[in-house]
Amino acid sequence: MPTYTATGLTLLARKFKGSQRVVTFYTRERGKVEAVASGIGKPGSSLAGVVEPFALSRLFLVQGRDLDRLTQAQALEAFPQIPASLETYGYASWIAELTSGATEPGQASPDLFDFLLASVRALAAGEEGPLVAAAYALALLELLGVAPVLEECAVCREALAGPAFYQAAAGGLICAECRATGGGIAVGGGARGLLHGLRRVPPERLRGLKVRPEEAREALELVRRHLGYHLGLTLRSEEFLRQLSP
Amino acid sequence: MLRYPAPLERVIEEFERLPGIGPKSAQRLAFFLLSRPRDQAQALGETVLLLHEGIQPCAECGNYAAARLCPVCADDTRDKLVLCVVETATDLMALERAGEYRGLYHVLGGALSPLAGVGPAELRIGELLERVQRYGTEEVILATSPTVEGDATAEFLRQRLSATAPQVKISRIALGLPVGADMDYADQVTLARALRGRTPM
Ligand SMILES: [Zn+2]
Ligand SMILES: [Zn+2]
Repeated sequence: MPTYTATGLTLLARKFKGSQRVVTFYTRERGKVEAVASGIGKPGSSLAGVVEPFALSRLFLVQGRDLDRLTQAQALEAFPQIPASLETYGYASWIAELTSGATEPGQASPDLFDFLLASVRALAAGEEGPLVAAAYALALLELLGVAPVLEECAVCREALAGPAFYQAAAGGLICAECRATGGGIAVGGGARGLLHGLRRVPPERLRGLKVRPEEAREALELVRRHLGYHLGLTLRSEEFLRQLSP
Repeated sequence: MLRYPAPLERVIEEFERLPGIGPKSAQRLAFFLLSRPRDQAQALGETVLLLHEGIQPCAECGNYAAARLCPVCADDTRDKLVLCVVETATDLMALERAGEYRGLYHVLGGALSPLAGVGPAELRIGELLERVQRYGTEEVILATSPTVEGDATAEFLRQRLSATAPQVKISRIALGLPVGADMDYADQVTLARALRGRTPM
């Protein structure tokens, strides 16, 4: 059986037979990889740390007919700061769940991997969860070719001068005139400016953006709607995040 | 493909749903029961039926109980001022087997997990805070598992406890190297935790 190595971030793990887990990684070399890890939960297992979400590891794998098998792993970076805050934990989980849901095995994207790792590092360093999540989702949507149109009206392609509205089916923001023919939710100037900013600023420098919390929430809400409509994803971690907000 | 008679198929199917039982083991178990006298299958069936009728969560700690209180809560010799918080009743049993602990427990019913849809509202956290007040608890030991989920849960409980009961001493069960472990083989994450959780001697 062919073997291979990859550098990957653990997204999630689910119980399999006995002490086995099926672990989903996002790797730099191969994109999403799902592999079976054995002996998890037994004391002294050398793979136990690797199956924990958000761990960055060097992975040694054997190709299998259905699922690959993780034989060895070397921990490169762990983020104990993430479970120390429930909000950070929630947004990191959201990012992991989104990555797993939006990608297919065997399609590598080193750019997405780098953005993912930078986002997890930014969360661990205390950057705002909603901002990191929105910026990451925008980057992912862009790489998948379904980014929301933000610079101009998605219908008439005129520059957006006046009020703007978001309409998922149109693919982004639309102007007041085009909105007359259908629905769409109003998006404030602050949130629009923020969405532009999120596309340009790397995750580790989000702190530099001047953001009001309600603008961050508005921007993230728009990104969520876009994800839901264009990728058809329902993320379980959203319910968790809802419980946290008062 | 040859199919077994319906009653046999059904038993095999039911066994297959049990954790750790594959199709082969399920068949073996079903054939075993069939080969034994009828009373043995009857005894098994009746015991399984009584499981849910006879067992309920302990009104205090959430452990499995055959009465209103579980054996731990009903035991007058236990130290009522120390509370050990665990994820599941199975974890509680494991700690009891160690025979070291003489305080009471609190079973949360799981750990915080955004991906499994388990938030604070799904765990018995309100009950914990209420018990700490009512008992005048002096120490709470957080014995959730050494995983991201267990750590997040412990950290959340620490914050809630220090806000609602600041006088309570809060500790986390020591995490680190397993007994008999070879340092060489321990992964970096475990070693880092063992160093962080070191104790003075
Ligand atoms: Zn327009
Ligand atoms: Zn009890």
